[in-house]
Amino acid sequence: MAAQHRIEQISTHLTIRPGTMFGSPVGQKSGEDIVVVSALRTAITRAKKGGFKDTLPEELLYHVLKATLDKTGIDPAIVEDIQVGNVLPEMGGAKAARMAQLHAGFPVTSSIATTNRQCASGLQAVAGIASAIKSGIIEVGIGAGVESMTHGYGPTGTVLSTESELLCQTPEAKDCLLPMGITSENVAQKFNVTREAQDRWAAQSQSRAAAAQKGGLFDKEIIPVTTTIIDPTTKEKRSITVTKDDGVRENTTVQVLGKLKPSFKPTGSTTAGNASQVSDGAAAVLLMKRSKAQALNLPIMGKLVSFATVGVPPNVMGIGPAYAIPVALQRAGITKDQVDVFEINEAFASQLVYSVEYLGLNHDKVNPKGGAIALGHPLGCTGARLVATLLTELERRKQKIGVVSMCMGTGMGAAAVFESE
Amino acid sequence: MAAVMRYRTAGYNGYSIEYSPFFENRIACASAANFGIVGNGRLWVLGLGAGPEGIDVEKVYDTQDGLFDCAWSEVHENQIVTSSGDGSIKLWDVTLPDFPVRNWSEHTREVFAVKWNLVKKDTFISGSWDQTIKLWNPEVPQSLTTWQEHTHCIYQTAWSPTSGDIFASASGDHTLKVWDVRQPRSVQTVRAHNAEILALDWNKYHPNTLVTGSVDHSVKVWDLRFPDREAMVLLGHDYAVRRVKCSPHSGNIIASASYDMTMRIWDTAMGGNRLAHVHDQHTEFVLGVDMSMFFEGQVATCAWDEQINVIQIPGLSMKH
Amino acid sequence: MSATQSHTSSSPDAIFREFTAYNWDKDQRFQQGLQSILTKSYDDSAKKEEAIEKAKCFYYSKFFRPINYLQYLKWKTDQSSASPSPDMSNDIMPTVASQSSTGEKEEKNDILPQPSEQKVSEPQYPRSFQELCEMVARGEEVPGIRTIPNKINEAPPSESHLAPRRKPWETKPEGAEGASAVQTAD
Repeated sequence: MAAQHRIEQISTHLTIRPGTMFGSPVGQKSGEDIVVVSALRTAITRAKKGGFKDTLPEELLYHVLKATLDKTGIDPAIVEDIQVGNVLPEMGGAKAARMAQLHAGFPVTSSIATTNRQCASGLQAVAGIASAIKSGIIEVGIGAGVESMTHGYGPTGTVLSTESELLCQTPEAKDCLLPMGITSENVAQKFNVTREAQDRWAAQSQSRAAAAQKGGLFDKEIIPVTTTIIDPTTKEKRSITVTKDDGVRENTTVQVLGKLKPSFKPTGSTTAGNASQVSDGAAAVLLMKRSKAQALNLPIMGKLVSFATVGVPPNVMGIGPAYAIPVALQRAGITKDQVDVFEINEAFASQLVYSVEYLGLNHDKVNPKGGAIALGHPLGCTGARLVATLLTELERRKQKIGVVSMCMGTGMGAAAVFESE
Repeated sequence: MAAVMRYRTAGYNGYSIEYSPFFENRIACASAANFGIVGNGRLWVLGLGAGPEGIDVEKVYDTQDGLFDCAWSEVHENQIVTSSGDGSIKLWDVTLPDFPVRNWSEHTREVFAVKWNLVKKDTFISGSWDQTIKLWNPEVPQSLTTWQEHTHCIYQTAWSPTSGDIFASASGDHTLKVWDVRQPRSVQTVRAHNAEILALDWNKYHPNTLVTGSVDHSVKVWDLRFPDREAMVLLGHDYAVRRVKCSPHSGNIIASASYDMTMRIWDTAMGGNRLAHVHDQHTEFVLGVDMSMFFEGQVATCAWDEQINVIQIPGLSMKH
Repeated sequence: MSATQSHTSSSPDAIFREFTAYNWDKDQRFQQGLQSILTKSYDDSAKKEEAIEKAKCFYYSKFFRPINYLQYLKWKTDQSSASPSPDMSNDIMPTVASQSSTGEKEEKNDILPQPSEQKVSEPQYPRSFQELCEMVARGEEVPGIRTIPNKINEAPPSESHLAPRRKPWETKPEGAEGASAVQTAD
């Protein structure tokens, strides 16, 4: 009947899904999309022991920014702004970041800011730059992340020197002061994540990372960094080139991990083996509108589809991904089954296992190249590092949709959806 | 801003509004009862500068089914063609009462577009939900040509302002097609949106430039020489864009009407979001908009709120 | 039948009451828009209140039904000078809690509410359009449709006396492109 037909036709004019927050929906392209042109990282090395133990965080940042310019061949002057996620540095890392930018060859006319959203800082920097491009504040920008836990980690970097009695009157505010390890124990206990399940995930993370490393799967995302290291015994300085993540332990098994003592409480289940490693590293993601990338004839790795941050109770902060991922998926207009690869930060196996189970994710799709338990978790770097790892892997697999997510101390989760091209 | 001239198309929801190319104070509105879903249609011929609110009715013509578009003849000052929900196309002589002087019933579904040739002024085209485009001459009882290539409803057509053989069509199949009346197939297909395209017009000053409006809320400017991507995206409408018109006076002024109840004026020469003006006095979907050929900056709109508004866009008349 | 008529079917008093009772706090779209109003600086709090009231009128007119700000002010003054009006507190609106829940999730130890569904901004159809759709869906006959004879005017059409008027673009082409024939690529 014509009338019914007309109603249906007009209804379709009004119910169609418009573009997502950053441009066209998944499966579609528009010149307005915010795309990733380059996503690179340094290797991640063990704090105080690895190849970057004598390299300052701003030097790591310099290397990854310089590599971004070298690899893409862009005119540095077109990069109007850079955001750098970092958590531990003095003065918010602002002064050091500016030095890194200028030394990398960016003109004084380009700007830089640092941002601290704890373990999501690197992803926040990417989303912040994408938002600035989307809103027309800038045309081209870099979202980066860096952390030298060699330099900033420890009591001064992780514990407040003063505690407000006033604020601690609110129990959840007081919970923000809990050590991260304790929040991991809380997650394990509250949601019955067994020690064995945690160790199993940790062992899997190690074996996947080892296999990926052997197969050269990180080679495209890692830039070689030549730096100086001081020999711990001879105290001699020498030059080295760091090209590999050094935290990977190929032969780790569930049995070996099972023998480790709990780190945070005697009856606990979180150990040095099933928690993320303390590390140094940097990553950078070059973003612009698709129309700009096409005009400059630059390759497009993928586009940012959506981004989300959510809050969760501080005493179980690790469950952040379980709550952030559904929001990001919804904003992207897709379901979890459409996602090919999830890169979820392994702060602790407890929270990772819980988040994966809660969301009902296919284990094969989560951290296929291993995660922070094997590779390390340089706090401010991680978000940008995961973007580089994700887009490289999606490209290799010739798959399309990926999600980056992580939890944050004090109880938050962040997630972003990317589409590879 | 000068006062808004208004007219209420009582009982009928406006679908299309068109300025006469002969008389600066004459406009026509194609409308339909019951929002065009079911019921009668009415063609309104209106005079500007008269009546209590600045617009007065000169003639009305009733039709069995809703009227969705109209186009004034470019050669006969008294004639206008309408397209209807029942597939019929009717030619009216506004000196005569009640009935049309011609009626064609070839389309099998709703005809959403009818456009008079701007150069070879003895022909016009129609675009229908039956997925065909037809070329007509008012003196010939059958269509001259029929093209079938779109795979979904055709919502709008537009003639080239400089070639009497070239026209374009916009469809629910997400494409914009360019046609030459001498060719049996389209000469160019542009996948212009990732959603149904409801609106289309041809820039009057740049022969390669067209403008589309879509269910995806966007207005896009196209340069046919670079069809792989749009030259410009104009964002701001909150719902589907139902009609776009390029200014007869300037190559960079575009008007768009939307289900978001606004009519917007865009200036593509401007920086930022290029939004020059928002007319938000309608209270329901705005479906029709047209720009006066004689008074630069004068714009007429019609909407589902049964209201016709004629406004002067601030700033636009100052240029000449 | 028409949208406009349906708007006038309620008394102004009822409309203003409905307007004041509307749960603004729960309307995310309005709250988002309100932010931009609140970030502006105002001479005094009365000016700010006025800006908020105007925003509400604009919003309500756009998405529900027309509210004339001046008439509303008058109505409000009348109300406050008359006997105390019935309590119009916000909680008369039902709380809309849209949660996405799947069977498998409910079994889990949920300590947080599921992230609320992003409000897919539902288009606001004109009231009587909705009614009309319901009528059509029920197969009811829509009243008031007249039969128009399908006939051709027997009188001869008028003669054209005017030559076509020149289009503005025909007299002042912009740039060289204006004069060239249209190019169509394949």
